Amino acid sequence: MADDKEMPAAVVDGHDQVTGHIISTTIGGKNGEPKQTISYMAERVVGTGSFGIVFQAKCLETGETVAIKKVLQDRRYKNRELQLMRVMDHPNVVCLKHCFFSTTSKDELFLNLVMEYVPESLYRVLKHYSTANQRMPLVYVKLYMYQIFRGLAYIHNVAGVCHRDLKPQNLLVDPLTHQVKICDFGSAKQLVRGEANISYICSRFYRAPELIFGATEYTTSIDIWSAGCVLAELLLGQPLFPGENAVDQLVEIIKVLGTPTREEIRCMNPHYTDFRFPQIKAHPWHKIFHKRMPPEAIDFASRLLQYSPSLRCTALEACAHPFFDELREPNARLPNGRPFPPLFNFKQEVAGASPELVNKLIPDHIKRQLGLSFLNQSGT
Amino acid sequence: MEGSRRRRGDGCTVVECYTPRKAVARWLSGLRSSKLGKREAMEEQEDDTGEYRLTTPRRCSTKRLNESRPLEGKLETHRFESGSREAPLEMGIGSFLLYLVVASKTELDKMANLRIEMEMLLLNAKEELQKKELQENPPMSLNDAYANEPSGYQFSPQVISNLASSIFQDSLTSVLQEENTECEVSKPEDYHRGADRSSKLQVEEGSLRLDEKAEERHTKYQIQRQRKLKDNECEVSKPEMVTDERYGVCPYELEKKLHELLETRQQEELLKLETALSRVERRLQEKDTEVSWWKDAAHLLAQRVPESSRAGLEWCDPESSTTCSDQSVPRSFKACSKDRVSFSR
Repeated sequence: MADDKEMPAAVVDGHDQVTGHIISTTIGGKNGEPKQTISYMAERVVGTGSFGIVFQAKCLETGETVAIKKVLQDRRYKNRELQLMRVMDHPNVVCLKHCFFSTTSKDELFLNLVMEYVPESLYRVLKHYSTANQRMPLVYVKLYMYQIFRGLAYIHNVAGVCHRDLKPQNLLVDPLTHQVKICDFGSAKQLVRGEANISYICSRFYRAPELIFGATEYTTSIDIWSAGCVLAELLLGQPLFPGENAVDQLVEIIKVLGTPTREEIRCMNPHYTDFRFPQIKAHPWHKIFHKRMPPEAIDFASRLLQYSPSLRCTALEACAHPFFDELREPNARLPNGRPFPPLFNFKQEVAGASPELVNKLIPDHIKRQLGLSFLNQSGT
Repeated sequence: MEGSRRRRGDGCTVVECYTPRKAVARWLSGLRSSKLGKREAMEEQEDDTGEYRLTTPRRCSTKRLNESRPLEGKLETHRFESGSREAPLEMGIGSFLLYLVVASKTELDKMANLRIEMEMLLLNAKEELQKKELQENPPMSLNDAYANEPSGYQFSPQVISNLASSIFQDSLTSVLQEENTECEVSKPEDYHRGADRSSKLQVEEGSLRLDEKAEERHTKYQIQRQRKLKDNECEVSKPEMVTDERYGVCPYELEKKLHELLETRQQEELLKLETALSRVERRLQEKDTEVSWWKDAAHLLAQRVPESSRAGLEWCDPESSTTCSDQSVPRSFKACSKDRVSFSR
């Protein structure tokens, strides 16, 4: 699909209404490659927002179902989301298959990002459980969170990108394989140390406190906070910090973590250290979750949801947390007996990690398998 | 022993008691009627009239009983040899009742202490609340101090301009360098959100002014912020948006909300303590009722004891009962008030 990821080769005409509409575009034609026409039939709208629209479509040539994100394109600029998605290649990050521009009668230019289609989102899965008045089984919480952190480890360490809008709606779940994919890189950005970034990003419930404090020199640890909020939501069945506005959001955080210390405020935004906020006592973590919650789950949540960004564990460290030990057991399976989706096929994301961490990340039975496969390869 | 059992100057032990002691008192009254004259009993009561008035005790003197101590061994033998077993049995029951009353009393004392502690705690909590209210509405002098404090919003104009330009940096450079630059087609909602947030904040800022003092401080902060923005107007094309993007939550609003939260939490705590107090009071009442039942039981028993014991005592040598009373009633008790009975081992 590498060719498909080339820049759009054609501008197609389109209409505002997408459903039932057939869009044709051509790919290839560069470096002597043959031109190929691809047609998509729009089937249904799966998401809308101020960014534009996402619709489900079927490729008429291959019969493959795809998701097309159609966003208004300013002719003056390149699209950052497209630039980032073109370099992403990871099992836990949604894959860009192809892209093309389309115009409307009003002479508006739209960019269409053709991505793999994943039918469910973590938001819908959560909703399913809460409607049934049930909690998500812990094995799924572990499985989903592990893959989220693996995906984050990749986008943080390999692509050097911060997602900046991690939330259940942007985490896609395949209901059959239970594979999780991070999507929507519309807010994502490559963060450069020392450079300021806008603080008004990320959806409210999942915003790291430093963003609410207006910090501009934040790090990828804001994604770790968001992931911590997602973990707590999976465990609780509802958002942990349901703020109605920015201040309220911070109050919700303070209700759980207590008033940040002067040092913690300094870590988030030094401009707030002159203010003396009333001292609110932290609510013990074990009282936030139900009594039978395993201690490692509580410990894990507390390690992610730290005021000081530097104290939050990294995505890779999160993957190695004992909370995920169950996934590393040799005979671990999905509740229906099927095997887990691939969890340990690490590549670049472990580059630069300490040997101890890598040792923890790859379970012994996988190491043995790898050893055997190496032996087989050398034998042949 | 100290409060309830006193040794008088004449060497007698005076046992003071209220209703529950009737069992013993009536039993002893048999002795008294036979050996002591009514006058002597009256004299003894008059010895300590103050206490009598306050507590309306009925004193049972063991004077004669103590005097007869030298004969103890012989007489007791005599009693056990010839007396019926009914009297010691009744006394045993009486003692048991007394023991139960003592236990109830200990319980009552503990609960009374708890109540005092709870009342103190509530008082402290109320004081704390009052203090907080005072802090929220500080006197004018405090406000001045606030105004002089270095504010987190007092950025230098240079910082403001740097921050502002960095927002538009992408767009400006991209315009200059055409499409060759890595640029950001910012999500429109970022800007919309910013604008929404600005209007929302303004609404909140307007509606959430709790008092004049807070408003004054808030206005000062607003003026400061606007002055800063004015200073940089030439450099920053969209100052309103810049403030929304760059500045975090309004610290005063956060402070106010946290005070509200603190107050709510304290009120919840207060409510919890009040509930606990009323629960304890109810238990106290229950125990009071229980004690009165025991008193009644003891009273009823006491009505029966004299008849049987009198029969036994009339039969045996009156002097011998000194030993019996001293040994069979190991606990002394004392009536403190009409309703409260204090006992000690």
